[in-house]
Amino acid sequence: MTEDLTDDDIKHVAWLARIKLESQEEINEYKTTFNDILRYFKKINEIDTEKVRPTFHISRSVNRFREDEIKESLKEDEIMQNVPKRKDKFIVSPRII
Amino acid sequence: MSRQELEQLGIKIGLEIHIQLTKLKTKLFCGCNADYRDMPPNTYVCPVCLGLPGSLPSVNKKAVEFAIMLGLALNSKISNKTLFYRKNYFYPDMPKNFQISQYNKAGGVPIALGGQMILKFKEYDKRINITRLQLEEDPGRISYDGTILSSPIAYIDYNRAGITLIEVVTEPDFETPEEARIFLQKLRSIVEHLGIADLSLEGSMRCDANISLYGKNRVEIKNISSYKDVQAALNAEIIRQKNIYKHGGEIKQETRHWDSDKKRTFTLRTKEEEQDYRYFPEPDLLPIEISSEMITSIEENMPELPDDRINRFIKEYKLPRYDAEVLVITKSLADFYEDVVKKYQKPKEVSNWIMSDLMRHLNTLNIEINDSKICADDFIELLNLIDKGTISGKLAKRILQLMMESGKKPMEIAKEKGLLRINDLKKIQEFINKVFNTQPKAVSDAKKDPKAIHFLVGQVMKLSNGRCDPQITNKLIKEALNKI
Ligand SMILES: [Zn+2]
Repeated sequence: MTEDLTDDDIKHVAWLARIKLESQEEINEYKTTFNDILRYFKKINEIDTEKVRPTFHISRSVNRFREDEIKESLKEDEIMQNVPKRKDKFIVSPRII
Repeated sequence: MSRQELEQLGIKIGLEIHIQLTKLKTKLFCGCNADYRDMPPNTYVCPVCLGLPGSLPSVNKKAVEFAIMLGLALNSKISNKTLFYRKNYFYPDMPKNFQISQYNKAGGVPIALGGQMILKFKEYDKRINITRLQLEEDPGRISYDGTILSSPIAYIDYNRAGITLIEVVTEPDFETPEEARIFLQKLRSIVEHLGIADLSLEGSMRCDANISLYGKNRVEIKNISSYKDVQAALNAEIIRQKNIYKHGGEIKQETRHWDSDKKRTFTLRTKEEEQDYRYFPEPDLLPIEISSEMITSIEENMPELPDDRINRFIKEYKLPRYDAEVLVITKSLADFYEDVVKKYQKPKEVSNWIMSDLMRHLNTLNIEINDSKICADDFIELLNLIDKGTISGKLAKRILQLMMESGKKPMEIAKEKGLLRINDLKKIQEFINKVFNTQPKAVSDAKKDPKAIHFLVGQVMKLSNGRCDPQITNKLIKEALNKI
């Protein structure tokens, strides 16, 4: 996190999110933005947290459970209203390898 | 390959087993019905398991209890505080673009750590160490037109998305594929005895394996979809690696895919590495604290486990250890045995029948006792018919096979196929007469040499399809010979 991100880092992150970056301008734009964000985190990293215990949740409560009881699922038209492409009851997506 | 040959290869195998907790009524983080098998696609889905914005997961309490039960059964240390993590990846099987799982790094603590299982073999005992147990959600199912390579599109069914999985990770302690298979068999029996899953269901127990030879690079094998397949997959991979080393090549660290039809492993291109999953604590779920009271109360209500059941079978039914171990391989078989022995109190005889003929037919039909059409009561009737002399032990074996295939009662089959024993002297005499008429040489032999009588008895049995009572037949033949 101390080094600036390279073009390859940006391309890799784009691939992880399956986002297509078309041009060098786009890569540059993301690189600038990402590096700005990382510089901000570098600032936070300067704070001495030696004696602070890691926090994963700001709430102090624990164990919010649900009983194993069946609730009604969505109806077919509710499920499919956000689905761009379907075949019968399947949701269709491009193949991803 | 023999065990000695395998030992020389310095094999190290570790397993990651995914077990669906099929006895839960609902999914891990939502109330959708978990009994999705045979349902039309995308029937049991809701905003949570579809990952719609604004939806919030909540943990199925019973899933946590089931995981603790399995942890206790495997002698693991149950964590007093455990967290869920997001494993981020972009793939259509998870509509949220992350899987809620657990993590053992970056501050994460899975639900249980450590543990072991002792495997018993004829020549040795083997201790397999468990690394950890974690709870996570199953992804949805993707299917293709033909294969993944030939199909331009993917068909997604989210019924399975969000189903509760326990992942059991072992240390690389296995030194032969057989050990891995026996481990899975025993793990399955433990899970079923705990009553947390029925692992005869298709896809309910899936396994990945990592394997190295001679302490060199490790290969991960994915997609071992049935626990029966693990030995074949590992054997195929051992032979592949052995041949490469033999020709001076090197094995590269990689992920391979097991093809159960072609019986070999293939390179699987994966571009994601562990850091790419960007694990971080799931902000939508609170931590889980497991008190010692909760553990104690679960511990007190644990059902009988396979090892205890084996010991009880030895004590209560006076069975040899070997018999007890075979019977308890699956819970359903052990249950069947006890159902029979309750009403037919010859435990060793029942065990012999199950271990020889019944299991052979199950193997031939490639089914389990629950899927076969035989029930305990019909099996008891069969044993009683042998005792009464209504059918011979030999014909009973044939009847048993027909019972398992058709589900008919033994008496019905015996009558239908004409397999009842013949005790009637007149009828037996008719068979003897036929044999005497067609085999004059054998008859004159038997008159000279009393030992040759066995041949004549055999001929009568053959002619009557094994139905004549052998003792009566013997007696009548002797009498007939004396009259000549
Ligand atoms: Zn749901």
